[in-house]
Amino acid sequence: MESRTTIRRRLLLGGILFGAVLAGSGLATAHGGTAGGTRNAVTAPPWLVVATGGGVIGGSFLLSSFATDRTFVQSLHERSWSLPVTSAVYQPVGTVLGALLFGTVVATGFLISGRGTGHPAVIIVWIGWWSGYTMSTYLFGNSWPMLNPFRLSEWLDTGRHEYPSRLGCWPAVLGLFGIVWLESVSPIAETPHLLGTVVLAYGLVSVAGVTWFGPDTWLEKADPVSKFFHYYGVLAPVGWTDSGLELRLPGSRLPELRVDGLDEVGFLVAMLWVTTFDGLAHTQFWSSVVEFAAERGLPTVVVQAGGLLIGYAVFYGAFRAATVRIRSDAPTPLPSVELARRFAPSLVPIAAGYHFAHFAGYFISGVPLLGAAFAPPLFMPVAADPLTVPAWLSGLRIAGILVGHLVGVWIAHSIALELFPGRMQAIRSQYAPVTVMVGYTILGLWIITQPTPTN
Amino acid sequence: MTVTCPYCNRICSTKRLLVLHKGHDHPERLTESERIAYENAREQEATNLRRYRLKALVVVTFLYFGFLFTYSIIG
Repeated sequence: MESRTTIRRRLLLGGILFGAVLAGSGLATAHGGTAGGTRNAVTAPPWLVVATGGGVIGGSFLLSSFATDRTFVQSLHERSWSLPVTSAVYQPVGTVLGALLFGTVVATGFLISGRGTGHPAVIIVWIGWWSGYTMSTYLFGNSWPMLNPFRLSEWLDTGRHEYPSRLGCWPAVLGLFGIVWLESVSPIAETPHLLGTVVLAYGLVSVAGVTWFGPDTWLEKADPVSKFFHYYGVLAPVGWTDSGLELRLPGSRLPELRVDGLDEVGFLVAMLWVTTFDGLAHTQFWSSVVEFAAERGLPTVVVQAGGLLIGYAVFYGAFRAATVRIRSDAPTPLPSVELARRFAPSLVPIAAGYHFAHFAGYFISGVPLLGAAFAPPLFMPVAADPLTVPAWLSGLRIAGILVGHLVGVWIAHSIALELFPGRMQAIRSQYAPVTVMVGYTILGLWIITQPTPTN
Repeated sequence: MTVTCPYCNRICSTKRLLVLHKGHDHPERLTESERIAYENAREQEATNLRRYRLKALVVVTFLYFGFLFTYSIIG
Protein backbone atom coordinates (compact mmCIF):
# COMPACT_ATOMS: atom_id res chain seq x y z
CA MET A 1 0.00 0.00 0.00
CA GLU A 2 2.80 2.33 1.00
CA SER A 3 4.57 2.07 -2.33
CA ARG A 4 1.30 2.56 -4.19
CA THR A 5 0.65 5.77 -2.24
CA THR A 6 4.16 6.98 -2.96
CA ILE A 7 3.69 6.33 -6.66
CA ARG A 8 0.41 8.25 -6.59
CA ARG A 9 2.02 11.15 -4.80
CA ARG A 10 4.78 11.24 -7.38
CA LEU A 11 2.24 11.09 -10.17
CA LEU A 12 0.35 13.96 -8.58
CA LEU A 13 3.49 16.03 -8.10
CA GLY A 14 4.46 15.31 -11.70
CA GLY A 15 0.98 16.35 -12.77
CA ILE A 16 1.23 19.63 -10.92
CA LEU A 17 4.62 20.38 -12.45
CA PHE A 18 3.32 19.42 -15.86
CA GLY A 19 0.35 21.76 -15.42
CA ALA A 20 2.74 24.51 -14.36
CA VAL A 21 4.84 24.00 -17.49
CA LEU A 22 1.72 24.05 -19.62
CA ALA A 23 0.57 27.23 -17.88
CA GLY A 24 4.07 28.70 -18.15
CA SER A 25 4.15 28.25 -21.90
CA GLY A 26 1.04 30.41 -22.02
CA LEU A 27 2.45 32.99 -19.61
CA ALA A 28 5.78 33.42 -21.33
CA THR A 29 4.25 34.46 -24.57
CA ALA A 30 1.10 36.28 -23.60
CA HIS A 31 0.93 39.87 -22.53
CA GLY A 32 -2.42 41.54 -22.25
CA GLY A 33 -3.24 44.95 -20.83
CA THR A 34 -2.42 45.99 -17.25
CA ALA A 35 -4.50 47.96 -14.82
CA GLY A 36 -2.29 51.02 -15.22
CA GLY A 37 -3.45 51.32 -18.79
CA THR A 38 -0.11 50.48 -20.43
CA ARG A 39 -0.24 47.81 -23.10
CA ASN A 40 2.39 45.62 -24.59
CA ALA A 41 2.53 43.90 -27.91
CA VAL A 42 0.87 40.51 -27.83
CA THR A 43 3.45 38.03 -29.05
CA ALA A 44 1.00 35.15 -29.33
CA PRO A 45 -2.41 35.71 -30.91
CA PRO A 46 -5.05 36.23 -28.20
CA TRP A 47 -7.11 33.24 -29.35
CA LEU A 48 -4.12 30.97 -28.68
CA VAL A 49 -3.60 32.38 -25.18
CA VAL A 50 -7.27 31.91 -24.47
CA ALA A 51 -7.32 28.39 -25.88
CA THR A 52 -4.20 27.49 -23.88
CA GLY A 53 -6.00 28.57 -20.72
CA GLY A 54 -8.94 26.32 -21.57
CA GLY A 55 -6.51 23.51 -22.33
CA VAL A 56 -4.70 23.95 -19.02
CA ILE A 57 -7.93 23.67 -17.07
CA GLY A 58 -9.14 20.63 -19.03
CA GLY A 59 -5.71 18.99 -18.72
CA SER A 60 -5.50 19.73 -15.01
CA PHE A 61 -8.86 18.05 -14.47
CA LEU A 62 -7.58 14.93 -16.22
CA LEU A 63 -4.44 15.02 -14.09
CA SER A 64 -6.29 15.66 -10.84
CA SER A 65 -8.36 12.57 -11.55
CA PHE A 66 -5.18 10.54 -11.08
CA ALA A 67 -5.42 11.28 -7.37
CA THR A 68 -8.25 9.00 -6.28
CA ASP A 69 -6.76 7.91 -2.97
CA ARG A 70 -9.30 9.45 -0.62
CA THR A 71 -7.10 9.05 2.45
CA PHE A 72 -4.27 10.88 0.73
CA VAL A 73 -6.50 13.72 -0.48
CA GLN A 74 -8.04 14.04 2.95
CA SER A 75 -4.71 13.97 4.78
CA LEU A 76 -3.48 16.71 2.45
CA HIS A 77 -6.40 18.91 3.45
CA GLU A 78 -6.19 18.11 7.12
CA ARG A 79 -2.64 19.38 7.48
CA SER A 80 -2.79 22.38 9.76
CA TRP A 81 -0.93 24.08 12.56
CA SER A 82 -2.56 26.09 15.32
CA LEU A 83 -1.25 29.12 17.09
CA PRO A 84 -2.67 29.95 20.51
CA VAL A 85 -3.78 33.47 19.64
CA THR A 86 -7.27 34.66 20.45
CA SER A 87 -9.11 37.44 18.68
CA ALA A 88 -10.26 38.98 21.99
CA VAL A 89 -7.07 41.03 22.29
CA TYR A 90 -7.27 42.50 18.82
CA GLN A 91 -11.02 42.94 18.62
CA PRO A 92 -11.26 46.39 20.33
CA VAL A 93 -8.21 47.72 18.45
CA GLY A 94 -9.64 46.49 15.16
CA THR A 95 -13.06 47.97 15.78
CA VAL A 96 -11.60 51.38 16.68
CA LEU A 97 -9.45 51.25 13.52
CA GLY A 98 -12.46 50.29 11.41
CA ALA A 99 -14.55 53.09 12.90
CA LEU A 100 -11.75 55.62 12.28
CA LEU A 101 -11.43 54.55 8.63
CA PHE A 102 -15.18 54.71 8.14
CA GLY A 103 -15.25 58.19 9.69
CA THR A 104 -12.33 59.34 7.54
CA VAL A 105 -13.99 58.20 4.32
CA VAL A 106 -17.30 59.86 5.13
CA ALA A 107 -15.74 63.08 6.44
CA THR A 108 -13.25 63.55 3.60
CA GLY A 109 -15.91 62.55 1.09
CA PHE A 110 -18.05 65.45 2.19
CA LEU A 111 -15.46 68.02 3.20
CA ILE A 112 -12.49 67.73 0.86
CA SER A 113 -12.60 68.82 -2.73
CA GLY A 114 -10.78 66.91 -5.42
CA ARG A 115 -11.61 64.25 -7.95
CA GLY A 116 -10.73 60.68 -8.75
CA THR A 117 -7.49 59.28 -7.42
CA GLY A 118 -6.45 62.68 -6.05
CA HIS A 119 -9.02 62.29 -3.29
CA PRO A 120 -8.37 60.44 -0.01
CA ALA A 121 -11.88 58.90 0.17
CA VAL A 122 -11.61 57.45 -3.35
CA ILE A 123 -8.13 56.12 -2.62
CA ILE A 124 -9.10 54.54 0.71
CA VAL A 125 -12.27 52.89 -0.58
CA TRP A 126 -11.30 51.62 -4.04
CA ILE A 127 -7.53 51.17 -3.87
CA GLY A 128 -7.16 50.48 -0.16
CA TRP A 129 -10.31 48.56 0.69
CA TRP A 130 -11.94 47.06 -2.40
CA SER A 131 -8.61 46.09 -4.04
CA GLY A 132 -5.96 45.75 -1.34
CA TYR A 133 -8.02 44.71 1.65
CA THR A 134 -10.02 42.16 -0.35
CA MET A 135 -6.74 40.65 -1.57
CA SER A 136 -5.62 40.33 2.05
CA THR A 137 -8.77 38.34 2.92
CA TYR A 138 -8.01 35.52 0.46
CA LEU A 139 -4.21 35.71 0.52
CA PHE A 140 -3.83 35.89 4.32
CA GLY A 141 -7.10 35.62 6.20
CA ASN A 142 -10.38 37.35 6.93
CA SER A 143 -9.93 40.09 9.51
CA TRP A 144 -13.21 41.83 8.67
CA PRO A 145 -15.15 40.57 11.72
CA MET A 146 -12.53 42.41 13.80
CA LEU A 147 -12.50 45.60 11.74
CA ASN A 148 -16.23 45.89 11.05
CA PRO A 149 -17.34 48.81 13.24
CA PHE A 150 -21.05 48.09 12.77
CA ARG A 151 -20.92 45.02 14.99
CA LEU A 152 -20.85 47.45 17.87
CA SER A 153 -24.38 48.55 17.18
CA GLU A 154 -25.61 45.32 18.78
CA TRP A 155 -25.30 47.34 22.00
CA LEU A 156 -28.29 49.34 20.84
CA ASP A 157 -30.51 46.45 21.82
CA THR A 158 -34.06 47.25 20.78
CA GLY A 159 -35.30 43.68 20.98
CA ARG A 160 -34.50 41.26 18.19
CA HIS A 161 -36.78 40.64 15.27
CA GLU A 162 -37.14 37.55 13.12
CA TYR A 163 -35.27 37.79 9.82
CA PRO A 164 -37.64 36.85 6.96
CA SER A 165 -36.15 33.47 6.07
CA ARG A 166 -37.60 33.39 2.55
CA LEU A 167 -35.35 36.34 1.68
CA GLY A 168 -32.32 34.12 2.36
CA CYS A 169 -29.15 35.92 1.44
CA TRP A 170 -30.56 37.39 -1.79
CA PRO A 171 -30.38 40.92 -0.30
CA ALA A 172 -26.63 40.38 -0.04
CA VAL A 173 -26.50 39.27 -3.70
CA LEU A 174 -28.25 42.50 -4.68
CA GLY A 175 -25.91 44.45 -2.42
CA LEU A 176 -22.91 42.91 -4.13
CA PHE A 177 -24.32 43.86 -7.53
CA GLY A 178 -24.80 47.36 -6.16
CA ILE A 179 -21.19 47.68 -5.02
CA VAL A 180 -19.81 46.46 -8.33
CA TRP A 181 -22.18 48.59 -10.32
CA LEU A 182 -21.06 51.61 -8.29
CA GLU A 183 -17.41 50.72 -8.69
CA SER A 184 -17.27 49.89 -12.35
CA VAL A 185 -19.90 51.95 -14.10
CA SER A 186 -21.32 54.73 -11.96
CA PRO A 187 -19.59 58.12 -11.68
CA ILE A 188 -19.02 57.48 -7.97
CA ALA A 189 -15.33 56.69 -8.37
CA GLU A 190 -14.86 60.19 -9.66
CA THR A 191 -17.23 61.97 -7.28
CA PRO A 192 -16.07 61.81 -3.63
CA HIS A 193 -19.18 63.57 -2.39
CA LEU A 194 -21.36 60.79 -3.76
CA LEU A 195 -18.97 58.17 -2.40
CA GLY A 196 -19.21 59.71 1.08
CA THR A 197 -23.00 59.60 0.84
CA VAL A 198 -23.07 55.95 -0.26
CA VAL A 199 -20.61 54.84 2.44
CA LEU A 200 -22.61 56.72 5.07
CA ALA A 201 -25.84 55.14 3.78
CA TYR A 202 -24.22 51.69 3.93
CA GLY A 203 -23.19 52.45 7.51
CA LEU A 204 -26.70 53.49 8.51
CA VAL A 205 -28.27 50.42 6.88
CA SER A 206 -25.75 48.19 8.67
CA VAL A 207 -26.44 49.80 12.05
CA ALA A 208 -30.17 49.42 11.47
CA GLY A 209 -29.82 45.80 10.31
CA VAL A 210 -27.56 44.73 13.17
CA THR A 211 -29.78 46.48 15.71
CA TRP A 212 -32.99 45.08 14.27
CA PHE A 213 -32.02 41.48 13.45
CA GLY A 214 -28.94 40.97 15.59
CA PRO A 215 -25.33 40.88 14.33
CA ASP A 216 -25.18 37.16 13.52
CA THR A 217 -28.27 37.05 11.32
CA TRP A 218 -27.63 40.37 9.62
CA LEU A 219 -23.93 39.84 8.93
CA GLU A 220 -24.36 36.21 7.87
CA LYS A 221 -27.41 36.74 5.67
CA ALA A 222 -27.94 40.25 4.40
CA ASP A 223 -24.63 42.12 4.56
CA PRO A 224 -22.81 41.65 1.23
CA VAL A 225 -19.47 42.88 2.56
CA SER A 226 -19.24 40.49 5.53
CA LYS A 227 -20.31 37.53 3.40
CA PHE A 228 -17.88 38.41 0.63
CA PHE A 229 -14.92 38.55 3.04
CA HIS A 230 -16.14 35.50 4.96
CA TYR A 231 -16.03 33.24 1.89
CA TYR A 232 -12.65 34.60 0.81
CA GLY A 233 -11.44 33.97 4.36
CA VAL A 234 -12.29 30.26 4.07
CA LEU A 235 -9.92 30.05 1.10
CA ALA A 236 -7.10 31.81 2.97
CA PRO A 237 -4.18 29.96 4.57
CA VAL A 238 -4.90 31.55 7.96
CA GLY A 239 -8.21 31.28 9.79
CA TRP A 240 -9.74 31.63 13.22
CA THR A 241 -10.91 28.50 15.00
CA ASP A 242 -12.16 27.97 18.53
CA SER A 243 -8.63 27.24 19.70
CA GLY A 244 -7.00 30.24 18.04
CA LEU A 245 -5.29 30.95 14.75
CA GLU A 246 -4.91 28.08 12.32
CA LEU A 247 -2.38 27.78 9.51
CA ARG A 248 -3.47 25.47 6.69
CA LEU A 249 -3.11 24.87 2.99
CA PRO A 250 -5.03 27.47 0.94
CA GLY A 251 -8.48 26.17 0.09
CA SER A 252 -8.22 23.08 2.27
CA ARG A 253 -11.26 24.12 4.32
CA LEU A 254 -13.48 24.58 1.27
CA PRO A 255 -14.49 20.92 0.74
CA GLU A 256 -15.95 20.78 4.24
CA LEU A 257 -17.80 24.08 3.86
CA ARG A 258 -21.55 23.52 3.87
CA VAL A 259 -23.68 26.24 2.35
CA ASP A 260 -27.30 26.44 3.45
CA GLY A 261 -29.37 26.68 0.31
CA LEU A 262 -29.61 27.92 -3.24
CA ASP A 263 -29.45 31.50 -2.00
CA GLU A 264 -25.90 30.88 -0.74
CA VAL A 265 -25.08 29.18 -4.05
CA GLY A 266 -26.44 32.32 -5.71
CA PHE A 267 -24.13 34.45 -3.59
CA LEU A 268 -21.05 32.39 -4.48
CA VAL A 269 -21.91 32.57 -8.18
CA ALA A 270 -22.39 36.33 -7.76
CA MET A 271 -18.95 36.68 -6.13
CA LEU A 272 -17.40 35.15 -9.20
CA TRP A 273 -19.55 36.91 -11.76
CA VAL A 274 -19.27 40.45 -10.37
CA THR A 275 -15.48 40.37 -10.56
CA THR A 276 -15.64 39.02 -14.10
CA PHE A 277 -18.13 41.72 -15.04
CA ASP A 278 -15.88 44.32 -13.47
CA GLY A 279 -13.19 43.26 -15.92
CA LEU A 280 -15.61 43.12 -18.82
CA ALA A 281 -16.92 46.63 -18.10
CA HIS A 282 -13.41 47.99 -18.59
CA THR A 283 -12.85 46.55 -22.07
CA GLN A 284 -13.04 48.28 -25.41
CA PHE A 285 -15.56 45.65 -26.45
CA TRP A 286 -17.99 46.56 -23.68
CA SER A 287 -17.59 50.30 -24.37
CA SER A 288 -18.59 49.71 -27.95
CA VAL A 289 -21.60 47.64 -26.87
CA VAL A 290 -22.71 50.49 -24.61
CA GLU A 291 -22.10 53.02 -27.37
CA PHE A 292 -24.03 50.92 -29.86
CA ALA A 293 -27.00 50.71 -27.48
CA ALA A 294 -26.80 54.42 -26.69
CA GLU A 295 -27.05 55.26 -30.38
CA ARG A 296 -30.31 53.35 -30.41
CA GLY A 297 -31.67 55.27 -27.46
CA LEU A 298 -30.95 52.83 -24.62
CA PRO A 299 -29.62 54.65 -21.55
CA THR A 300 -26.13 53.55 -20.42
CA VAL A 301 -27.34 52.79 -16.91
CA VAL A 302 -29.86 50.27 -18.24
CA VAL A 303 -27.32 48.57 -20.51
CA GLN A 304 -24.78 48.26 -17.69
CA ALA A 305 -27.31 46.94 -15.19
CA GLY A 306 -28.77 44.66 -17.87
CA GLY A 307 -25.33 43.25 -18.70
CA LEU A 308 -24.64 42.62 -15.03
CA LEU A 309 -27.96 40.85 -14.43
CA ILE A 310 -28.20 38.89 -17.69
CA GLY A 311 -24.62 37.69 -17.37
CA TYR A 312 -25.36 36.58 -13.82
CA ALA A 313 -28.50 34.74 -14.89
CA VAL A 314 -26.56 32.97 -17.68
CA PHE A 315 -23.77 31.87 -15.39
CA TYR A 316 -26.05 30.85 -12.54
CA GLY A 317 -28.07 28.86 -15.09
CA ALA A 318 -24.90 27.20 -16.43
CA PHE A 319 -23.78 26.23 -12.93
CA ARG A 320 -27.20 24.80 -12.06
CA ALA A 321 -27.40 22.97 -15.40
CA ALA A 322 -24.01 21.40 -14.67
CA THR A 323 -25.21 20.18 -11.27
CA VAL A 324 -28.36 18.74 -12.85
CA ARG A 325 -26.17 17.01 -15.42
CA ILE A 326 -24.07 15.39 -12.65
CA ARG A 327 -27.10 13.26 -11.78
CA SER A 328 -27.01 11.51 -15.15
CA ASP A 329 -23.22 11.48 -15.68
CA ALA A 330 -22.53 9.93 -12.29
CA PRO A 331 -25.82 8.28 -11.35
CA THR A 332 -26.61 9.48 -7.85
CA PRO A 333 -29.81 9.77 -5.86
CA LEU A 334 -28.67 13.13 -4.47
CA PRO A 335 -30.97 15.94 -5.64
CA SER A 336 -29.34 18.55 -7.87
CA VAL A 337 -29.93 21.25 -5.26
CA GLU A 338 -27.82 19.29 -2.81
CA LEU A 339 -25.12 18.89 -5.47
CA ALA A 340 -25.18 22.63 -6.17
CA ARG A 341 -24.78 23.34 -2.47
CA ARG A 342 -21.88 20.94 -2.10
CA PHE A 343 -19.96 22.02 -5.19
CA ALA A 344 -20.53 25.80 -4.89
CA PRO A 345 -17.52 26.35 -2.56
CA SER A 346 -15.23 25.33 -5.44
CA LEU A 347 -16.13 28.68 -7.05
CA VAL A 348 -14.40 30.69 -4.31
CA PRO A 349 -10.80 30.20 -5.54
CA ILE A 350 -11.89 31.10 -9.08
CA ALA A 351 -13.48 34.31 -7.81
CA ALA A 352 -10.29 35.11 -5.90
CA GLY A 353 -8.24 34.45 -9.05
CA TYR A 354 -10.34 36.90 -11.05
CA HIS A 355 -10.15 39.46 -8.28
CA PHE A 356 -6.38 39.13 -8.19
CA ALA A 357 -6.12 39.34 -11.98
CA HIS A 358 -8.25 42.43 -12.01
CA PHE A 359 -6.93 44.33 -9.00
CA ALA A 360 -3.32 43.31 -8.23
CA GLY A 361 -1.86 45.76 -10.75
CA TYR A 362 -4.32 48.48 -9.80
CA PHE A 363 -3.44 48.08 -6.13
CA ILE A 364 0.34 48.02 -6.66
CA SER A 365 0.20 51.12 -8.87
CA GLY A 366 -1.91 52.83 -6.19
CA VAL A 367 0.36 52.09 -3.20
CA PRO A 368 2.07 55.53 -3.28
CA LEU A 369 -1.37 57.19 -3.38
CA LEU A 370 -2.47 55.11 -0.41
CA GLY A 371 0.69 56.07 1.47
CA ALA A 372 0.10 59.74 0.68
CA ALA A 373 -3.54 59.53 1.80
CA PHE A 374 -2.44 58.41 5.28
CA ALA A 375 0.65 60.61 5.55
CA PRO A 376 0.42 64.10 7.05
CA PRO A 377 -1.06 66.48 6.17
CA LEU A 378 -4.18 64.36 6.62
CA PHE A 379 -7.54 65.34 5.17
CA MET A 380 -5.97 67.02 2.16
CA PRO A 381 -6.19 66.26 -1.53
CA VAL A 382 -3.47 63.78 -2.44
CA ALA A 383 -0.71 64.78 -4.82
CA ALA A 384 1.28 61.64 -5.57
CA ASP A 385 2.00 59.73 -8.75
CA PRO A 386 0.93 56.12 -9.15
CA LEU A 387 3.64 53.55 -9.69
CA THR A 388 4.27 52.39 -13.22
CA VAL A 389 3.37 48.73 -13.24
CA PRO A 390 6.06 46.48 -14.74
CA ALA A 391 5.13 44.62 -17.92
CA TRP A 392 5.52 41.14 -16.41
CA LEU A 393 2.56 41.88 -14.19
CA SER A 394 0.27 41.06 -17.10
CA GLY A 395 1.65 37.52 -16.86
CA LEU A 396 0.70 37.53 -13.18
CA ARG A 397 -2.86 38.42 -14.17
CA ILE A 398 -3.15 35.41 -16.44
CA ALA A 399 -1.56 33.32 -13.69
CA GLY A 400 -4.21 34.60 -11.24
CA ILE A 401 -7.05 33.32 -13.39
CA LEU A 402 -5.36 30.00 -14.15
CA VAL A 403 -4.31 29.29 -10.55
CA GLY A 404 -7.81 30.17 -9.36
CA HIS A 405 -9.33 27.68 -11.80
CA LEU A 406 -6.73 25.01 -11.01
CA VAL A 407 -7.47 25.24 -7.28
CA GLY A 408 -11.20 25.24 -8.11
CA VAL A 409 -10.84 22.03 -10.16
CA TRP A 410 -8.89 20.42 -7.33
CA ILE A 411 -11.43 21.45 -4.66
CA ALA A 412 -14.33 20.16 -6.79
CA HIS A 413 -12.43 16.89 -7.29
CA SER A 414 -11.93 16.48 -3.51
CA ILE A 415 -15.60 17.26 -2.87
CA ALA A 416 -16.59 14.63 -5.44
CA LEU A 417 -14.34 12.00 -3.83
CA GLU A 418 -15.94 12.74 -0.49
CA LEU A 419 -19.47 12.81 -1.83
CA PHE A 420 -19.59 9.73 -4.05
CA PRO A 421 -18.87 6.15 -3.00
CA GLY A 422 -17.39 5.21 -6.40
CA ARG A 423 -14.09 6.69 -7.55
CA MET A 424 -15.01 6.44 -11.22
CA GLN A 425 -18.36 7.98 -10.29
CA ALA A 426 -16.52 10.90 -8.66
CA ILE A 427 -14.49 11.51 -11.82
CA ARG A 428 -17.53 11.27 -14.07
CA SER A 429 -19.40 13.73 -11.87
CA GLN A 430 -16.91 16.41 -12.86
CA TYR A 431 -17.42 16.22 -16.64
CA ALA A 432 -20.16 18.87 -16.76
CA PRO A 433 -18.72 21.27 -14.12
CA VAL A 434 -15.28 21.12 -15.74
CA THR A 435 -16.79 21.89 -19.15
CA VAL A 436 -18.42 24.98 -17.62
CA MET A 437 -15.10 25.89 -15.98
CA VAL A 438 -13.18 25.57 -19.25
CA GLY A 439 -15.74 27.89 -20.85
CA TYR A 440 -15.43 30.34 -17.99
CA THR A 441 -11.62 30.34 -18.16
CA ILE A 442 -11.85 31.10 -21.87
CA LEU A 443 -14.21 33.98 -21.13
CA GLY A 444 -11.98 35.28 -18.32
CA LEU A 445 -8.80 35.16 -20.36
CA TRP A 446 -10.55 36.70 -23.34
CA ILE A 447 -11.59 39.60 -21.09
CA ILE A 448 -8.11 40.32 -19.77
CA THR A 449 -6.49 40.08 -23.18
CA GLN A 450 -8.95 42.62 -24.57
CA PRO A 451 -7.64 46.14 -25.08
CA THR A 452 -8.86 48.72 -22.57
CA PRO A 453 -10.48 51.87 -23.96
CA THR A 454 -8.04 54.69 -24.51
CA ASN A 455 -9.19 57.58 -22.37
CA MET B 1 -33.82 1.33 -8.01
CA THR B 2 -31.89 3.00 -5.19
CA VAL B 3 -30.49 1.05 -2.25
CA THR B 4 -30.03 2.25 1.31
CA CYS B 5 -27.06 1.58 3.56
CA PRO B 6 -28.28 -0.32 6.66
CA TYR B 7 -25.62 1.34 8.86
CA CYS B 8 -25.95 5.03 8.03
CA ASN B 9 -29.08 5.28 5.83
CA ARG B 10 -27.06 6.69 2.97
CA ILE B 11 -28.79 6.16 -0.34
CA CYS B 12 -26.77 4.79 -3.26
CA SER B 13 -28.01 4.54 -6.82
CA THR B 14 -26.72 1.00 -7.48
CA LYS B 15 -25.87 -2.10 -5.46
CA ARG B 16 -22.27 -1.90 -6.58
CA LEU B 17 -21.93 1.64 -5.23
CA LEU B 18 -23.48 0.52 -1.95
CA VAL B 19 -20.90 -2.26 -1.69
CA LEU B 20 -18.13 0.30 -2.28
CA HIS B 21 -19.64 2.69 0.24
CA LYS B 22 -19.92 0.01 2.94
CA GLY B 23 -16.35 -1.12 2.39
CA HIS B 24 -15.03 2.42 2.54
CA ASP B 25 -17.08 3.88 5.37
CA HIS B 26 -17.92 0.87 7.54
CA PRO B 27 -14.98 -1.50 7.04
CA GLU B 28 -15.28 -2.85 10.60
CA ARG B 29 -18.89 -3.97 10.12
CA LEU B 30 -18.44 -5.99 6.94
CA THR B 31 -19.39 -9.66 6.93
CA GLU B 32 -17.10 -12.09 5.14
CA SER B 33 -19.26 -12.15 2.00
CA GLU B 34 -19.56 -8.37 2.03
CA ARG B 35 -15.80 -8.08 2.32
CA ILE B 36 -15.33 -10.31 -0.72
CA ALA B 37 -17.96 -8.33 -2.63
CA TYR B 38 -16.15 -5.10 -1.69
CA GLU B 39 -12.80 -6.42 -2.87
CA ASN B 40 -14.31 -7.56 -6.16
CA ALA B 41 -16.07 -4.24 -6.70
CA ARG B 42 -12.89 -2.40 -5.89
CA GLU B 43 -10.89 -4.55 -8.27
CA GLN B 44 -13.46 -3.90 -10.99
CA GLU B 45 -13.31 -0.19 -10.26
CA ALA B 46 -9.51 -0.23 -10.36
CA THR B 47 -9.66 -1.78 -13.83
CA ASN B 48 -12.01 0.95 -15.01
CA LEU B 49 -9.80 3.59 -13.43
CA ARG B 50 -6.72 2.23 -15.17
CA ARG B 51 -8.50 2.32 -18.52
CA TYR B 52 -9.71 5.85 -17.82
CA ARG B 53 -6.22 7.03 -16.81
CA LEU B 54 -4.72 5.63 -19.95
CA LYS B 55 -7.22 7.58 -22.03
CA ALA B 56 -6.66 10.69 -19.91
CA LEU B 57 -2.92 10.41 -20.41
CA VAL B 58 -3.35 10.15 -24.17
CA VAL B 59 -5.60 13.23 -24.20
CA VAL B 60 -3.18 15.23 -22.02
CA THR B 61 -0.26 14.27 -24.23
CA PHE B 62 -2.11 15.36 -27.36
CA LEU B 63 -3.18 18.55 -25.63
CA TYR B 64 0.37 19.36 -24.56
CA PHE B 65 2.06 18.63 -27.85
CA GLY B 66 -0.81 20.14 -29.78
CA PHE B 67 -0.26 23.44 -28.02
CA LEU B 68 3.52 23.11 -28.21
CA PHE B 69 3.41 22.71 -31.98
CA THR B 70 0.83 25.46 -32.39
CA TYR B 71 3.04 27.84 -30.41
CA SER B 72 6.15 26.90 -32.35
CA ILE B 73 4.36 27.51 -35.67
CA ILE B 74 2.47 30.69 -34.73
CA GLY B 75 4.41 32.22 -31.82
